[in-house]
Amino acid sequence: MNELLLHPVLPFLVGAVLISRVPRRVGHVVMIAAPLVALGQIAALDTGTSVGLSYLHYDLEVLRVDALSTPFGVIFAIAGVIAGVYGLTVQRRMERTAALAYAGGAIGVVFAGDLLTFFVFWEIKAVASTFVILARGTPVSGRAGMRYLFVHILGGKLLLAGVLLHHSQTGSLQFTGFEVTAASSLILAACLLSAAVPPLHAWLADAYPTASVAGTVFLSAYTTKAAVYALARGFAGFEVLIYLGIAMALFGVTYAMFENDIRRLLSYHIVSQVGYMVAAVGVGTELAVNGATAHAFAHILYKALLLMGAGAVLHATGISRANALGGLARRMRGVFVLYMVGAVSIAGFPLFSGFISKELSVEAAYGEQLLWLVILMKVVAVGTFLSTGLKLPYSTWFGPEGAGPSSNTGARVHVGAVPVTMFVAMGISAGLNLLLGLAPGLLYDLLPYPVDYTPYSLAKVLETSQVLLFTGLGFWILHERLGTKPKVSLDTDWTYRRLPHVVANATAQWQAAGATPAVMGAALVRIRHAVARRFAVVHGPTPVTSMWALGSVVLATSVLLLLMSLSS
Amino acid sequence: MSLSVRIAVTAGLVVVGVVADIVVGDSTFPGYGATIGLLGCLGLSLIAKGAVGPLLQRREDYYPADTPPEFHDDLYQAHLADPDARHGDAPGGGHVTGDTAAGDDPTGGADAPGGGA
Repeated sequence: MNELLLHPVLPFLVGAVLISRVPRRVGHVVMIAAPLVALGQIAALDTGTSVGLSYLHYDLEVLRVDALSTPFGVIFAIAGVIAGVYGLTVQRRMERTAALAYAGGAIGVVFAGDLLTFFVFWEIKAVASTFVILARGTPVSGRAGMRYLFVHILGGKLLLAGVLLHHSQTGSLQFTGFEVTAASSLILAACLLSAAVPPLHAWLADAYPTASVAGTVFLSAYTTKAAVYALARGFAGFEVLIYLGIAMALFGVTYAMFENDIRRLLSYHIVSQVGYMVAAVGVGTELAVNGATAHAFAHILYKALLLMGAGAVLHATGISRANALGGLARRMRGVFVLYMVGAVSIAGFPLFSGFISKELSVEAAYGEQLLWLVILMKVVAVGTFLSTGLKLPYSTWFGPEGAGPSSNTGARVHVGAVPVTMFVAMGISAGLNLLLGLAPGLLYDLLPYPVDYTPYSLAKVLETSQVLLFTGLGFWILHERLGTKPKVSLDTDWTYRRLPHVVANATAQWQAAGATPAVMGAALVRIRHAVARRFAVVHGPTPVTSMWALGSVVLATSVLLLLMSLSS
Repeated sequence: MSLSVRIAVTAGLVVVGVVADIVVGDSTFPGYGATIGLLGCLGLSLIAKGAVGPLLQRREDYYPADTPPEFHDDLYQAHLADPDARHGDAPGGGHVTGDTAAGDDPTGGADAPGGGA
């Protein structure tokens, strides 16, 4: 039972409660200490540790430490430290509470040994992450947060339905590799939604860029990677994941090519990079699962760094649209250099983390004779470097007007100061990206299966260097034509953001024209009113207020259920 | 630099890449890296900017209530005031640091749009 006190969830959840009560300066300490304590706990827990509990008539395994959960736990804790330091001077009290609870939920997901515990932490993660988005407190983030919640509640229900069906059919709640059944398909659908696999992905690019600068860094680390963990645990070797994974990788890079908002561009690259991991899980060999895990680990580090760089620009200038930035290179030199470390890491430059993690997945695809997959993975790497390593930094820090001080619009952007804490967080992340690239053994030793792979051979380094060099040359030739316009891109969120309006307008027009019979017309009026009521939320009380009301009802219900279950 | 010069430099480097591949002798085919890099770059640019983008891009006010702001005034230099006090939602927080600024812009804020260093 002592091991239960070492559960890495505890410091996060205790910290989340504590930070909402203590003075702000003490909160700084809590924010950093919670993930550090969790990291220490993970180090102290032996692989193979398992703590069971009996709840109602269910045998639960609330803590399971094994070779797959440990690497995810370690990187989730490290991400908590980095994002916490980054947000020290800018995050509000409620946002910090939500962020710690969110990180704790994600850690709980990876250390859950049974499906019920897994589901509970999955939902904590979903609700807490919604509050991370809402915490920015603007109408835009409020609406995006509610759309995010709507999608994730749907995912949570799919998961619950799958878990219940699985239990009724097998009598077991153990979370291990699944067979193909109706129940596992429901769980798979929930995991795919959370991993942002198209067409269930639009919540990510919709909501992440609307959070605060530090909130987005937290969000980028946990939800999709916890889903990758769940896929690796339950669905390794499901062939459909290969196709879904590479499709989402290509989808993400394509959307990123014409995206104008720098944080939304990077969000589409989360979709793209998670595609690598999903495809690797689909390949399903030991090397491939190692590849997915390693890539999730490295991805959290470099994506956090990229979003921190973009966030620092947004913090200093107030601008997130690439077409209005530019000419910052001389004025934000430090941020530029640190961002570029993230950019070369994600692109997979030799000596940086992306190279040693991505190549594992590529090698696994080679090993299974999936040459088409290897080539498409390389093309995605080209697109990744093109958008995040060339186009975004070019338009943000340089542009047609050069290194500064004129921006892309010709005006001069005011550049404010960037807090030291942001530089420290970016420095830690950049250092770790370089460290993993230089000493891949540090990461390889953490992976679920033994690694017998040397990333640094002359042929591999030469091939990767050439791919990236010629991508750079391609950009050099084409860069005048690759500038972005201030536009929004339609995505599958159109179906719940615009389609109801279209339907409502169409029915109103038909009615006005008298084109519908009376009975049908009455039905349409009812539908339209229902739709109108749905959208009345937009003009109603602020989403945060309504969420607090909702939250207290949920809390009261949970307490009631707990009491009932204890008395039974 | 003019387009033809850039293409010529690239073509020269393709030759160097092919020769390097032949010398090392372990590539899928000589010029593999150059092919993937250049064709990938060109293909993605053409598909994204030429075909998909124009189909899917709309004016910024397409979702009227969610039109992206030109200036995020709530995020701009958010640390200069106490983040909690700024939104007035949490009494009792201490004042946070104005002294952590890292002097990235020594020229100061003569043209500050609001707030300022």
